[in-house]
Amino acid sequence: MTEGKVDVKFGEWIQQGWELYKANIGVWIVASLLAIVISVATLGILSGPMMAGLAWMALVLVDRKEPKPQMGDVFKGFDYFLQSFLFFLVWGVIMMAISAISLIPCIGPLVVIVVSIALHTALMFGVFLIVDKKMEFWPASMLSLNVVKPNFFPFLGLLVVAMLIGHVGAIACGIGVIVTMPIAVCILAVAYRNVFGVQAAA
Amino acid sequence: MNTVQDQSPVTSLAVWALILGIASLVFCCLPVAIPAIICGHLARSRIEQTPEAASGRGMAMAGLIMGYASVVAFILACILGIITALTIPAVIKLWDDVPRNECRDNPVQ
Repeated sequence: MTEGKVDVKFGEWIQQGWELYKANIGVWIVASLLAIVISVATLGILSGPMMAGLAWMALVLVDRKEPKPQMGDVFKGFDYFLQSFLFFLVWGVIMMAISAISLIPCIGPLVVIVVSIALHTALMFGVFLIVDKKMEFWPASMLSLNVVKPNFFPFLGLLVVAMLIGHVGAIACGIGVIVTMPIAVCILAVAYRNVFGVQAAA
Repeated sequence: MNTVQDQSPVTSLAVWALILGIASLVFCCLPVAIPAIICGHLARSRIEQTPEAASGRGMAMAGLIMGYASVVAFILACILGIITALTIPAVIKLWDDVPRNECRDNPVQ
């Protein structure tokens, strides 16, 4: 497990993530469509397990395990239901509480944006840890935070690039997110596996 | 990697709990929420009795949470509806009274 300086290989990880996505594009699009529709229809209650399902699929592909994940495997996230649900619930509530700062004139909204981005960066490996190591949501959050903290700015850069790629589809009336969001998941899965390693996960 | 796949099949009750739970939230429907809760509880007890033969604890729990959330939403909607029904006549009466007073205070010359 890595809790020191990490060499963030931007280009390499993005390229590997893209290759993973490209090789299984059909599966990813359907799985991501299912995940987004179910998350929205349930008012975000199932966002956690759906995200865990996508993370599970990405990790299986990163590890080149057989059989390859199918579109229905997005429901594997329900094997980690409680922890992924709590992860999204607790951090969602914390984010909503922080959003109250935006009521302060002038600097309020800016502070909320900065804190939100920092929090997203700190928790970027949280769901992957829950899925891969079957950790509980709080230790997973803290481990992610501890790993990201000494390498904050490189990881922030990686997250921003992944999110920009992942949300570029939103330009097409939001529907394009279904196509582009899995790219971000693949990039983060590659980053996770490179940072935490296969050995530590066993 | 710890992505151990559960070999035991997912119990159909858990799948039904999930489907009904989602439907109860989408359609805000109490008659769908109650079966979701029943299926969720049945699935959980079946999984606890025979964990080697059935899985799907997460789906059952998801169905339960969404079923209960729908029931709570339904109760809140009922309370809100009753409060609205009780207050609207008073608001209408108040609304009607205001212009009448204004007219009485400003008689046409």
